Amino acid sequence: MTTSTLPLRPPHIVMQLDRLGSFYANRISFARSMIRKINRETWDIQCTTFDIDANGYGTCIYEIIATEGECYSLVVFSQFLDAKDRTDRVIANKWDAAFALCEGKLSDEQVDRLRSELPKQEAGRNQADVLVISRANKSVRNFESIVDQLANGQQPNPDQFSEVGYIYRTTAVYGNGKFGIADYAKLKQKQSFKLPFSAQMFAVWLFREFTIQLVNHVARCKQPTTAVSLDSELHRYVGVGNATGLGMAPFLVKHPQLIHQWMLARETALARACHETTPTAATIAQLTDLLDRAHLHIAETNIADVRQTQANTSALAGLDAIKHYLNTNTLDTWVPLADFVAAETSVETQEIFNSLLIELYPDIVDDLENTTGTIASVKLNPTWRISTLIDAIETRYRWVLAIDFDSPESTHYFWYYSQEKKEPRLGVRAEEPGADKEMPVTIARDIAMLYRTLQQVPKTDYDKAVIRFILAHPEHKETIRRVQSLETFQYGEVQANLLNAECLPIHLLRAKLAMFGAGRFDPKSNLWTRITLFQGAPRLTEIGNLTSDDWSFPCKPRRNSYVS
Amino acid sequence: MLVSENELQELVWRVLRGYGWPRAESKDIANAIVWLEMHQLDGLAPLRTLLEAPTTFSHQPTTISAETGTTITLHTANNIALLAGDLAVDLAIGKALETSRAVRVQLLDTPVPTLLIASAAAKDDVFAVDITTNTHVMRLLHNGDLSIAPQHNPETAAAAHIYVGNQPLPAFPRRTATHIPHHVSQQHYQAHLASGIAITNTDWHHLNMLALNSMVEATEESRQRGAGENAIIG
Repeated sequence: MTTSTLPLRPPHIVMQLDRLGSFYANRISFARSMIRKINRETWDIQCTTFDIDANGYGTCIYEIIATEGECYSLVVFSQFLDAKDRTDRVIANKWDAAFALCEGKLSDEQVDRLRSELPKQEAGRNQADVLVISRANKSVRNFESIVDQLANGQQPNPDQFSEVGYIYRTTAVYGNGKFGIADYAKLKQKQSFKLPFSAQMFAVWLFREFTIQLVNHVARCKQPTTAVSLDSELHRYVGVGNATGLGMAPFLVKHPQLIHQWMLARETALARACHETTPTAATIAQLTDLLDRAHLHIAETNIADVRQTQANTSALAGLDAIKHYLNTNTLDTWVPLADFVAAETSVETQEIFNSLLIELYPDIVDDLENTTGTIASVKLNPTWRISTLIDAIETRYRWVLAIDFDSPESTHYFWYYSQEKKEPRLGVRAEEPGADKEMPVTIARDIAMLYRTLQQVPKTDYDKAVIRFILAHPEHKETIRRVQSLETFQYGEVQANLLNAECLPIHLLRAKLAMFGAGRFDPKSNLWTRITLFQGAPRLTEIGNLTSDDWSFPCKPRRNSYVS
Repeated sequence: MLVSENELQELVWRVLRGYGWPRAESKDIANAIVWLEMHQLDGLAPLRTLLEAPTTFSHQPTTISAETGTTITLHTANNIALLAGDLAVDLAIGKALETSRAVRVQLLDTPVPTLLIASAAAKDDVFAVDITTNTHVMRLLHNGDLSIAPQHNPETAAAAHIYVGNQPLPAFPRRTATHIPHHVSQQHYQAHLASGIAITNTDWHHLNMLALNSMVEATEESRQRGAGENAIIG
């Protein structure tokens, strides 16, 4: 079956906001594909400078020989931070740690320059030899407790990592020309980091290694005679936290062709796994194991958010139902099981199942990771007939035409960019100023307004070129260009009115974070979430020797497995 | 100081949006300015000119004053010739594609120099484009070669000639033109990617101040509602 004939799920299913908000990472998520790449290519990663004092403050540098001999450095500056300054706000200019992925080996001058600018983060200026910058704050509770226990010769209780699965948490990880760093156009010319967000993922993964090295070091400095290093199983179970807010949400609207590529890769992987394979005793056993692991992972996830807790509860029941189906039916193909899951379980369960099914077939899905990038091209085609434009809207944007934009609820919110916070915010149109500076995430309303204007065009003019319509209605040019440019990008649009009173922006964040490979979704409101990256991921010392890269749905190490 | 392509593009877009310019034109002109800068042409100069006489945009139709099979004359009722210039390129491309003939678009206002050609180039480089303004004559070939010559007649009306397919092109009208082959443009582009685009501190701070107009000031209410407020995690 060729990709073009595979029965892909239609966009009106895939691109629903609540489904996007139920996505889980899978084996072609960026974190997973990046780990596979560095293992396959046996990247040489050495810690060449560890100038850190007994309190954990100082400079650490890793040098990396990557794809085709390309050389990079990751530098981390760790500093004292007063508790009152420890905020995860994007614009904060003081952090426990700041780190950067740079081209080549760093000279002393470069390190001095980075030491001056990097800790200031968004208030600093960088140069184009810097590819990625980020910053992180400690989980003070985890850091101090782990250090104390290691210093006393004890391993930490794994329970504390199922509550907070990290020692440090980042906020933004920048890799696209912000604050003077290299443009994405430069980054994608690198053989090592051609895939979207691979440089950011690599920087975070290596920073995770630093956080482990740091607690081991501080513990040794504290009690040199009794200290032990963090057990390897616990090491694997420690990720890097991340707090993600509205800043990430407009990305999905602003880059529709890229989002299409991500979704197409995922849906193609799912369709291949479901329709191009035959279940065997081995794959059914593997799926059963994965279902058990996912069940345990979710059961071990302690979060306070009511909606996500309900989703997790329904997922646990759904996973049980899938196991029961497997135990009581004979499968010649995966299709009946997939149909059962789609019909009988929650959306959250369905998307867990989809990730697990993809997991079974690395040989036929892993190549899809190479299709997740695209060169965005949003062009106006002035020769389209007006009738073609009307047809396109009526065919591809039926979901918009069903929305009543005369109802106040449909435009309850407006998105704006905050002068103070320098990031997107959501305002209530009727109550707050700023709607005149609304961000262009108003796709549904824009399409509806365009369609309304098109209905005023006499039918005798339908055969005219669309550019003539634009001359009379230039305010619709951007929307027309978008409709045209997405003609062959069926998964380009999030099929939701993001201005609606019922809209949950958290779903947008979840979709993107799942593509990154994030897990342990822990929403703190409808507007921001905490997640964990690389929990369960291989350690630095394992790179080059991995025989399996399945580290999805990580579970708490059993205490008797590493404590003598 | 050195800035990235993305930073400059975003900043110019914000400045224009802050003036109330429409999204499409703000994006196109930001692209055009960056295109010029990345090709070592002064893209910020026309922006400075534009901003010296700031104006807010209101959507008004651009009207066609006259049209033949190969010529379109536009009158810009909104008095922002740059916007009309951008639209003119779209119009000419459309007509040239439909007729398979070269199309000349003439503007009754004088557009800001150089941005027209950049606008065309940043949109689609498969067309050959001749741009005439009151200060320059320019040609961009589909292979990316660029020629620029000074305009000797300051009274010349702005116009764009759009060529499609493999039409024979008329000779470029200036012997004194500067020719920038595509591979040289690419070298400039790569150099800018490697080190960033140079911009004066004055321009940078001025544009950043103007960009604030596209953002919303915080209120007590918005601070209470803000995502991630008090996001101090233990």
